[in-house]
Amino acid sequence: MILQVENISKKYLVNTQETKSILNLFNNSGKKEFWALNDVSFQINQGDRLGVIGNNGAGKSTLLKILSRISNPTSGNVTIKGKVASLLEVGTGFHPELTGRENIYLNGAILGMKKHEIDSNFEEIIDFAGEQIKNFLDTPVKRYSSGMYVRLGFAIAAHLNPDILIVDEVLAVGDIDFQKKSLGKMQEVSKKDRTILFVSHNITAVSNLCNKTLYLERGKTKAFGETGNILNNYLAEHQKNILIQEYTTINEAPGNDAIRLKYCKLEPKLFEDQEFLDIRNSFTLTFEFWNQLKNTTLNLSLHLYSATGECILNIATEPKLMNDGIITGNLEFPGNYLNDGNYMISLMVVKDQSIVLHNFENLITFDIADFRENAVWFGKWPGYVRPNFPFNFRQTTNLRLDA
Amino acid sequence: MINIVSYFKELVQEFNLISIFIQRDLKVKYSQTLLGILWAIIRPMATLIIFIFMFKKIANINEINGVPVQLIILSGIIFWNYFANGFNNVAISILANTNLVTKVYFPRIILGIASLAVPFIDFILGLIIYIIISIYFGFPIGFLFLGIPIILLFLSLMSLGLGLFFASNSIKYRDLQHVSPLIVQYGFFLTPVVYSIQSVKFEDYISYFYALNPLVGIIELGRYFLIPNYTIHFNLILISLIVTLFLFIIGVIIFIKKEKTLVDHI
Repeated sequence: MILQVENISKKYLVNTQETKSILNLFNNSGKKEFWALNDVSFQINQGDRLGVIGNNGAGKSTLLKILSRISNPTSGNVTIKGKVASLLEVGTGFHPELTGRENIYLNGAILGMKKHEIDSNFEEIIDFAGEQIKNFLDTPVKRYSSGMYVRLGFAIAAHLNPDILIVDEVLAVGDIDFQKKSLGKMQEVSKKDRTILFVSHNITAVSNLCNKTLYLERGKTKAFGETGNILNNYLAEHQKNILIQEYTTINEAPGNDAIRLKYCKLEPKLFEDQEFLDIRNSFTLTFEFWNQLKNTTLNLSLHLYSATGECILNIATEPKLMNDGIITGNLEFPGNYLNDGNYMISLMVVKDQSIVLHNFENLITFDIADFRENAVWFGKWPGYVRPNFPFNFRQTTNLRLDA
Repeated sequence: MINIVSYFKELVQEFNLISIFIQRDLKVKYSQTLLGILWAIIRPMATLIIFIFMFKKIANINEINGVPVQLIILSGIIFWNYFANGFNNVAISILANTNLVTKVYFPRIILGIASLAVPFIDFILGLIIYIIISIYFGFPIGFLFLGIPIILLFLSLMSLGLGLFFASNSIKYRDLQHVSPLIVQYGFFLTPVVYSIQSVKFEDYISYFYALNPLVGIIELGRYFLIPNYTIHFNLILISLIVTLFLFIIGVIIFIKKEKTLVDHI
């Protein structure tokens, strides 16, 4: 056992004012207690890679601060065997006026490296940081591009040699190249039987990197254990999705005097052993409406929105003459089409191709999980669509130097 | 108590970090300005010239107990500046490094200790100027000069003790940020910086109270080490030195107690 956390809690006093005036130096009135962490316990062994997940405000960063000794818990104990290095950002303490070389020593020392450790790793650090930085080693870092700044910071961090490495997900931001490099480095480190604590929102990264997961919710341990089990739990909790809507009587159903929703459902075609819809699966939307208009030409128009509200597509049916009664229909979305993310479907009923009878907004809300096989990079896949069109390349001739 | 022992053990292990912070502060301070290190000389000289003007031309005072006012004033200023700048730097050392203290752990006191480096260099330069001027006035330094490290030590303890108290409390109680400049501003006149304690007409028992201001004794002792045949009252010095130690210990203890949750208030 290399890290043991016993019943730690952290209380903050939340004030309307950020800081107190000297007048209420001696009283604590007008403040609310807020428990950022509440009785959290767990332990991990040498070589474990622990992922810490949870929503914003779950207490992830508070836990991170306590484990890296930046702040003390209000109660409880943390026992750590060995040297801890925490990476809550890259380039901590870089001084803009100092040169790249000077900042390597400054940042290294701040992260807990001894001077001889930095000396012996110096060449490797600048090699890792890249050619560009090698050329500007004696230039103040205020003249660096933000990319160079981050690369130098990460290069130093990558050469830390602690027993426990605590990493915040902020490290996984930046350009794609950098994400690949940093997560790749973490994988490399984790193969060396090093203990890692990784705090992240990124479920894909956690599931690929970590063997154990701690799931926090509002300061409390929701679950702790093997990553696979915990993540299934987490995803189930998080799919606050509306996959089905059904109404038995016409009066309570949404809509108006012309048209009301009776039923709609999103049904994924899952593979065996699969619990959640992911990017590979096709899925079908089926729906029923109560139509109270006689002899009217209707057509349906479906909009698919991203979680951020951008319209990804609009697809419409042919207009058809309909009578009062129940209208049913369906739409099938292919697999390997939408990217992972959260989506909303709205359905519009249109009369005579020009008059909107009703727009059923947020009819269905659903998540598509990510899926990658043999991946080395776990950053967010960009884009709303993720087709697997045939995309080929091959070697056509061999260039032989001796020919 | 055991905590404090292990705390200082940790501090010794972090010597590398202290020296890195010192190098950072010195490089940044002296490389950013055109005149660089010259400012360390210009500032005390400007203060000196202003007070010489006031004393000689306005108050018509040329010497105090046979010592030229120039030497009294300059010696006072270099000691005072070391304390004032040191105290000020220590007091803001946490707030000036919030980007660090919120991201990584190390004993926070390191920032305070390291922030004495720039005032220290200024002090050394000031001392060199003093030695040159003292030779010019025919009051060259003697073997008592060897006592100057004691003055440096006590000025440092004083800056740290008081500064750490402000550093640990001014994050939660921001009003305190307005108090530390006042201490420097009024302290300058309440302490024999541009005058000598001999020019203060006190009853004996009142001067004991006066010596509760630790800078009184430290600066007077400093003059004793610098100025030949300068007379001092050793009881007063002793009071000041004891008060300094007391303030230092209190300041450090409060700081160590608060440092672990300092970040919560930033």
